[in-house]
Amino acid sequence: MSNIFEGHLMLRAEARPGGRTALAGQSFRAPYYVGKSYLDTDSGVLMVQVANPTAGILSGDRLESAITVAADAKLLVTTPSASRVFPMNAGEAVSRQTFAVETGGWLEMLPEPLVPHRRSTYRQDTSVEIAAGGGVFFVEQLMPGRVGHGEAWEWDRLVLTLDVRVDGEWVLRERFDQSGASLRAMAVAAGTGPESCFANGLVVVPGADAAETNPAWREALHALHGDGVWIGATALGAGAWSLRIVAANGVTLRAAVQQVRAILAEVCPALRCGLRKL
Amino acid sequence: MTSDPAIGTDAGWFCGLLQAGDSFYPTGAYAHSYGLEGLVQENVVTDRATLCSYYEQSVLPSLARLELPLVAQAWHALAEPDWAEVAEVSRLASVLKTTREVRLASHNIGRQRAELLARLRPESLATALVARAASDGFPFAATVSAALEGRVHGAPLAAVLGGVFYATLSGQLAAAMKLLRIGQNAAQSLLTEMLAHAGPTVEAAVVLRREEIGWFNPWLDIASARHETANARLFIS
Repeated sequence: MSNIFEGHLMLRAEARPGGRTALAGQSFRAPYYVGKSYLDTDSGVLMVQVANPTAGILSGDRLESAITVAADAKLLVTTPSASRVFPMNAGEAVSRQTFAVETGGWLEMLPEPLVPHRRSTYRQDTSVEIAAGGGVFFVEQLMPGRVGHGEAWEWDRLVLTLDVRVDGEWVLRERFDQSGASLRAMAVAAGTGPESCFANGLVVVPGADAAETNPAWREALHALHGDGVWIGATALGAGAWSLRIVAANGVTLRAAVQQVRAILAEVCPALRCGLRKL
Repeated sequence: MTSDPAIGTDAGWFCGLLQAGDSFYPTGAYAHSYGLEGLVQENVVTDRATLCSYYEQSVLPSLARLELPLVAQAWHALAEPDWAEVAEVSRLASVLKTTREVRLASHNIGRQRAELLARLRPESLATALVARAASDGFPFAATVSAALEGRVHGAPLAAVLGGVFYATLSGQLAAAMKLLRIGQNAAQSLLTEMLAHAGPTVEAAVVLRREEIGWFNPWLDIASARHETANARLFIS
């Protein structure tokens, strides 16, 4: 029996008559597992936890996921624990994930951090498509390794790509392709410390003026810069924003992401959904 | 309109590239630091040693995995020319710029270079590219315009890439000399050190497949994003 997983996850959230969001479709195969969803009645957001009941991601694993939020539905997807990419003597693990938000829909994607272990190679291709009038808060976090074990920046190769389209317009192609050693060198040069953690975010504020390049919330985000946190937001076009955070350690990064979430909740009410209820 | 070189001799294309890379050539590139000023404001780049680290960790990898591969792809697309390919590379060049001010810098410099070349050599491929960008709606990009200059002057790909490599390094040094306490001799010694990477960087760039093009440094992007709203700055980006 092979230990290699061909993981599959599909979720589709739809708004029922009256506006209540429900999962209209779901399917999954190990290592994915979808827990019971929870509707936050205050914000109207349906919260779903996607768990990996196995130890983590291993060489040869192939993971595919597709999450769709239909018109006027509101969905939050998170994970209960970090995604660990284990040491590999050879080969790589690959994940391909697609997210689609239809007109009036809202998707928050806030998984726990990715933790690449020593000698690991991991590739993740992500595609996000947002229809006009849709909204997104999408954040991925990267830890330098198993810091508690004294292991940091020891992965072989990490390739993260992100394509973003808003109302059919291609606004971003990111390609992060780094060894642990090269990222360690960047962290040292920048002075953010040997345990620096990184969060990469995408924000589309529903109903916002797509031509706005300096909204008030950006100033509030930039005010978080300092005391072990680097943060910057920049307009991508078509109303989409790129957000990057570097923090001196995982605890600081988590706190910064929560502060960002609170600031953006002023313009994205769906972010008032409390993560603690999961 | 063809991609036949306006100047056919080696001396001709060589002089053409020198003209395009001269700081006297009005492209507006001198007004941009491409994020360096942001890193200076963050006290990350403060002297020759930290500037050297910036070159090694940001400028050279960006050339190898982003800028030069795009120039190479555009140079090939402009051979026939294949306008659908030119449009695709131009769009890719735009979306790969991960901060607004750096993206706008590429758009503006790319437009200025293409339009200037079209004025200087109205019978050349440059005029066709300017017209196609307008009719097909694809963005100008500094990398595509560098390839265009190479095609119009009849320069081989290696020379075009070498020209972009040199202009990028020297342009960043020119910005650094305005931002840091670094003198002419220190700047030239650093430039000499970095020029030793030209061969491997160009070789890496020409073999990169289109789907592999792309690179970013999170710290540089943050500095660039914050620079957009800085209260005081010397450079546009």
